[in-house]
Amino acid sequence: MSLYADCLLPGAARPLRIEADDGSWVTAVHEDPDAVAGALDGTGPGAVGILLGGRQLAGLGGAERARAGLVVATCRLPLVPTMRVADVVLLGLRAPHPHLWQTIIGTTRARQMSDDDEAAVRALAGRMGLAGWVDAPAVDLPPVVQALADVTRAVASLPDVLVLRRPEWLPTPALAEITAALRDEQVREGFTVVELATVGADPTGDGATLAGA
Amino acid sequence: MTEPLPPAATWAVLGAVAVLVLVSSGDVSAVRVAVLGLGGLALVPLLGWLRVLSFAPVAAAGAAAAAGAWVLAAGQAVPVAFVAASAVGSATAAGVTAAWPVTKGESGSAAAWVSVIAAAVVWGVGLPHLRLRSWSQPLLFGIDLSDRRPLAVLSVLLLAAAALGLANVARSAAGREMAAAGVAPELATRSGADVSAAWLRAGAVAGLFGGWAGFLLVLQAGALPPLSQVSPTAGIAWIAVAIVGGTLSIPGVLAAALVVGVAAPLLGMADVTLAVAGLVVVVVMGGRGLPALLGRAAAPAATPPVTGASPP
Repeated sequence: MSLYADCLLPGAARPLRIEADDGSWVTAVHEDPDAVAGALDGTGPGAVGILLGGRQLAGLGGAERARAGLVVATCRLPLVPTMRVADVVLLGLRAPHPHLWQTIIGTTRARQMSDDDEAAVRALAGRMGLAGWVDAPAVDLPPVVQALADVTRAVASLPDVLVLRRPEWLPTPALAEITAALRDEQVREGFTVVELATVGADPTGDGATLAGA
Repeated sequence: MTEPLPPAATWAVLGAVAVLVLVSSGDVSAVRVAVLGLGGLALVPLLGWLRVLSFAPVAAAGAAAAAGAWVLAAGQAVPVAFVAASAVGSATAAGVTAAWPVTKGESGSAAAWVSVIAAAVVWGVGLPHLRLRSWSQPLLFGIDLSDRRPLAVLSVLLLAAAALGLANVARSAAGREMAAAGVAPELATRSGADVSAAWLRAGAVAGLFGGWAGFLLVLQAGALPPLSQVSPTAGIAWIAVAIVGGTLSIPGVLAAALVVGVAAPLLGMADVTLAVAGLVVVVVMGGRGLPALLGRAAAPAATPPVTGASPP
């Protein structure tokens, strides 16, 4: 699905315009890509307009935007001992949920759905190169695993547009592997990728580089 | 997140201890254990997943006790009383812990304070003013549930149902969203999970189990339970049991409830005294509760990460 977004971040002189056609991979550069990610995912201010396939998302909260198909991967995870890497990825999975009472009673259908979710996540994690980490607790994860887990979470939600905060803090080979894994999933599922990069950082994306503020 | 259900052996041991309690005690220990266990389990979604210290379960128990006693006094059957009690209890808990403060953008600690106030209001204002005259025998399929033995069986059944229900929730999508809403709300939001709804659901689950505890107390007392059993003091005992049990470990909470519920009357102590004493021991030992003291990790934090298929 196509994305057309205007962000005017606090303190920025000019707006950032992001245009991405359906199924494309576009790189947008900005001095503060984290703030752009926050404007897009609703955790920060600055989104003037977000048109996703013609639908205006700017007035919606973060969760509604994600459910509408615009999912942001910041490539950083909160490190919490109570969640496994699989739980992080499962969070992205937007499979139909059973009702709470069906969950409590543990109906066959509810149990089947839990098992299906787990299996789907394991399959996806395997394709993304995360197989050995699925059951690890989400603490003390190396930065590359954090980034990969967050990207996998975003992919698991089968987004229309996946916004990737490029993890520039990773060594180049690791960054390249994550990009390659995401590209494979993009070919498979056909979503659009918008990569957010810092001005001056070495651009590796082959999409059009758009005007930054 | 929450430890998966333990192997059948652990359940067999817990079941055997429960049966021992039933058979050996002339006291009403099964109800004590069940009430402590239900209260502790009700706190797992709140304390363990959402990380909020809450008195909502005890407020729910008080509300459920009031509703159950009122319906029974009106001559209704036990299933009606039970459904009314758990529905009112869960509605109260969901309202006081989640719906009101957190969906209005307030923090979890605001919700905690509201739950304290709700518990105090139910205990101090609501229950003492409930005047009930007549009282029907609580019959279920012809069995008088105010009898000691059927009541003990019902207690153990409800406790087991709560433990299994909570384990089901823990491994479900709803449970994962509750766990993330507590410790990683931004991640949950970015993933499309409704954080307010997760708080509501956690409150509903906690209220349901707290409501069952209140209903058991009604059956045991044959009337409105003594106020001390649904007071904020009881809430402190439940919180202590949940923490001693490891807050994330369902068998841990059950074990803590068993120990406190059985040992407290033997030692001539109040439940809350023993539970808080256990809490102090656990804190001094620096463990994450009973399972950690016994050498089993309460949370998967102690598990070393798998490094076999290390990514680039």
